[in-house]
Amino acid sequence: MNKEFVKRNTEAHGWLGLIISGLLFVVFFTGAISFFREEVQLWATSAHIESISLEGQEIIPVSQILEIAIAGRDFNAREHLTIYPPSHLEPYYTAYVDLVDRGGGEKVDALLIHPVSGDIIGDPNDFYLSSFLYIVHYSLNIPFGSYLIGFVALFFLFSIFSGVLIHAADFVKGFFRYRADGRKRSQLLDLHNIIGVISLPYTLMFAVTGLIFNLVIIYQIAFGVILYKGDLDALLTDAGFVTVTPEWQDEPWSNPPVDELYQQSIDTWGGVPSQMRVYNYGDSSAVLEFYGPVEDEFAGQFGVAYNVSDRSEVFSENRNDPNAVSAGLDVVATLHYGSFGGLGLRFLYLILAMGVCALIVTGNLLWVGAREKTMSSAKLNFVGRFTLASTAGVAVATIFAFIAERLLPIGGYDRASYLSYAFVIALVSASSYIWLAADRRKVLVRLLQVFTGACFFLLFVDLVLYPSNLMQYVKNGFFAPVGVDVGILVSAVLGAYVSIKLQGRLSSISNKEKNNFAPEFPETVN
Amino acid sequence: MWKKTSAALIGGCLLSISLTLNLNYLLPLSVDALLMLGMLLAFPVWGALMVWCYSSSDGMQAWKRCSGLMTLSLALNTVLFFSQA
Repeated sequence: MNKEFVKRNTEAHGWLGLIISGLLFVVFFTGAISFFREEVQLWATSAHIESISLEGQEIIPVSQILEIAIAGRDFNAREHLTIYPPSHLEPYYTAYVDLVDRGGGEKVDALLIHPVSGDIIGDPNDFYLSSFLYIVHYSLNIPFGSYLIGFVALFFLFSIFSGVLIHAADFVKGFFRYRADGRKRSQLLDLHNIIGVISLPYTLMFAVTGLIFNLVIIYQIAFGVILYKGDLDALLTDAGFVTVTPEWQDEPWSNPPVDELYQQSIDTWGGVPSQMRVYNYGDSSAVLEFYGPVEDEFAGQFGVAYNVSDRSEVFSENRNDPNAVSAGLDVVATLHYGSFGGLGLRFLYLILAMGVCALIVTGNLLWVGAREKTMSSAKLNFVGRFTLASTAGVAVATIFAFIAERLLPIGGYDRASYLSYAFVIALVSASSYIWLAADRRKVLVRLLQVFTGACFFLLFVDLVLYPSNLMQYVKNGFFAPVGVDVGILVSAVLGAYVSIKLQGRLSSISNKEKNNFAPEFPETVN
Repeated sequence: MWKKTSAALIGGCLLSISLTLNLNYLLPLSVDALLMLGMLLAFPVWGALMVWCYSSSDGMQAWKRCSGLMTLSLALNTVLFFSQA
């Protein structure tokens, strides 16, 4: 490899890696938790909604759930009525009812419906934690954030390519190299390289699939303008996207075969629909649309819509010759969410995502180490504090969002916004502390202690306030809430272990400094 | 670095669009397969072009590299566009 080529790419790899590091850490950290989005959602509801057993119980059919959802509401039948049936991770029906626009914009009522009694037991939007972390993952919960994250993914892809080229000469020989007795910089470099090489297929997949999700609009517009001469509808049709727009007939439907069509979709595709949507509910023009997983197929997703009046198909995925774009995007989504290999695969994804977080931190430390002699201490200090705020600060903010989810009372106010405020306030507080404190080494230890304390506090709250709820969920076969608590416990133990180790090193350094020895612990964070 | 970055982002984006459009015109695949292939290839191509731009000696060279390849690719785009119109 040409030396100049490697040198220039190393420079760009370092600078661009540093610039995107903060946002990239947020993306991978919140993304790692989002692999367990449904589990976190059930953990959130478990404190406020009692568990139910679906074993041997007769579940209310979807046709009745539709009636329950719209009863007494200002339902706009010309819009949608969307139902999410119960699953092994979510024991309730979830319904979204579009309301008539009486000024002030379109509104939707969200409901959790008991699948046996039919009682409305809550509002899914009250339990915002898992959605919030997922939204932060792909758009930072800010306007145009998805494009910003798209460009972060683009620079991440460049960092992967340039990293491979920089490391190419040493790729095989240096694969297992870790110089435990070497200098601190050699250790960091080996760690950075080992994690980078091991996680290469994973990071490459995430960079490309993330780009497809967030920045595909660039190519969509370009292809639409040039290949389709501006006809974007034709492009979407070729890409397999179907929009259902039935015309309102103003004739009431009679004997709508809702449950029969629901069953028909299960019989045809072998999987229970994860989503059912009704267009023009109550009218003879009504259309029922189902989406869901196809049983025993990798990334298999079905989509089918029926005219209620005569049961004819409005559209259906062609099982024998699926559209390459819609089938391809199903594969992209399946790979990205890790939904093809069960719980074990999602744990593997979680570990690899944490590995990427370590890759980001070691990258920043290497950047600082390489410039210790050439760059001003003020600039290096800024990078060190920025790294701390965007890593430890984000971890602390996340655990405070968990605490807010557990402790905020339900109903009567915008609970979701308060949860977001808890995250932001915790992040700003942690960042302020990082910026104002004199010793960054102590800051890291204190933040780790706060994180650990918050984790133990959460467990304490669950054990003291909600033990019967959690046990009830386990008894009824829903292990997710306890599983999330186990995850919090593991995080607490890890946080405690690392903070005790670092505290020990800090103490020994301060003892040496008192005895007028030169400090061994560099000012950079580790 | 800023000039290289502008070449990597703007030049890389336009070039990746142009190159994937050429593939779209040239490969004998169904229209949905071509769209999916374009979507899958476009970003890695953009990433590879970024590496090419950043490995340039300066921003001017990065822009020259992009412009040279862009001229060729655009010429092919034009020929294919009018020949298939």
